[in-house]
Amino acid sequence: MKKIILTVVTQEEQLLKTKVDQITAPTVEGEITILPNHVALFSKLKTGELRYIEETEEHSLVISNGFITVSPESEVTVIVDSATLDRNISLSKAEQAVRDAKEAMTKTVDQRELLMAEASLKRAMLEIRIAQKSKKSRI
Amino acid sequence: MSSARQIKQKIKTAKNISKITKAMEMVSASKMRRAQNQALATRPYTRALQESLSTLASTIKTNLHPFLVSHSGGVDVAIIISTDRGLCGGLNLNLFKSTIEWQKKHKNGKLILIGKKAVAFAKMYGLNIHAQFTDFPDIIRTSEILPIATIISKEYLNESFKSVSIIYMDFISTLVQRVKTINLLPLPKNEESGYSSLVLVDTKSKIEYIFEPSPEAILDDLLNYYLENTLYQSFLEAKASEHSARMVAMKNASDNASELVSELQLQFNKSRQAGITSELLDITTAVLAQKLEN
Repeated sequence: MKKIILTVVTQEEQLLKTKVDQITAPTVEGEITILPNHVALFSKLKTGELRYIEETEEHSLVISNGFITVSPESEVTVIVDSATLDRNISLSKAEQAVRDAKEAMTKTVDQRELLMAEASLKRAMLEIRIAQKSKKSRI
Repeated sequence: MSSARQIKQKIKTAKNISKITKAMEMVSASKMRRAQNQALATRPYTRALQESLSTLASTIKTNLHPFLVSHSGGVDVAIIISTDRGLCGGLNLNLFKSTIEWQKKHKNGKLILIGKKAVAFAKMYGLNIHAQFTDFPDIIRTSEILPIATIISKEYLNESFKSVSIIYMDFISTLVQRVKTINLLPLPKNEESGYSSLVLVDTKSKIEYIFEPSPEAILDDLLNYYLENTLYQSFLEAKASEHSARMVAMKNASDNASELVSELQLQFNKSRQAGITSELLDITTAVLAQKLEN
């Protein structure tokens, strides 16, 4: 069966390059699922969970804003600001991040900082949710 | 000839200095490795961005975006990326030489300064500062350069900036760093910066891409990313240059110090021997004198 080559790059590093069977990504227009031989596509991603199936096993990553390109050769490139693999999520760190962000939101009045705090809160919440989910599925 | 005690003091001082410089060399070496790795790690991202840009270029007219069009209003701006701390050899000096040259060419040009050294330099020469940023951590994250990217894109779009360039030390090797000037805005079209892919019409352009939402919206976003990424990349290069320059400077300093120590040691030994000889002479003359009296 034909596979999709998935590449995930963030500003700091190339996070992932692997052959997968299916990808589900959150775009600004709604969630999309990509199977092999998908039509060529160029889209914007928003903060959320990107899932992919590699040899019948489902993995997920938390991603922030970015882009996804699907080439006609079934190569999927995901370009994002930052991303975390589910196995790298530290629950305690994420919980700490939630607390910090909430505190920052109550304290600051600056519009810009407020937006930043909100974004990091959203991200941390997502990380927690995904971490809990993947733990459950393991048990 | 200075006394043995004075020389001993000097030896001690030189040894202490060499210990410090050796430690600083080691710290810089490890920081340098990290900075180099970081600079390399961002390459896939840059490549992916460029590929996406060229894909876009094949579908829509990219010349319409304000980042790609030059306008006549506003001032020229240069971003100078220097270091926060000194002791890194001629690194900042070379950088400031080019800064002065740039300023000569753009009389009304303003500067955005990164690093305490650049700030001190600009104040001394009375240069026109637009903004300054200091105290960047050793590991730079993209969130740290966001404010700078925001400033330049905003000021460029409302035409208070005519052009934006970055002047920084490009990392070539541990021993060689060269001043590099990049024209950031308006985005150059025919340079080796990789951006040339935009003007080339992609041969694979027959492929129909679906764009969600619209190609224009994606281009707008993508160019913003491109801007940030270029800025980020030059920051990483500058950091790598800083640490390697400091490492080399500290290595030279420790070498000089150990040379000094061996020189002083020789001098000390000589003066000690001279002391012993003259004491021996004194003793023998005294003994001889006594024998003669008896």
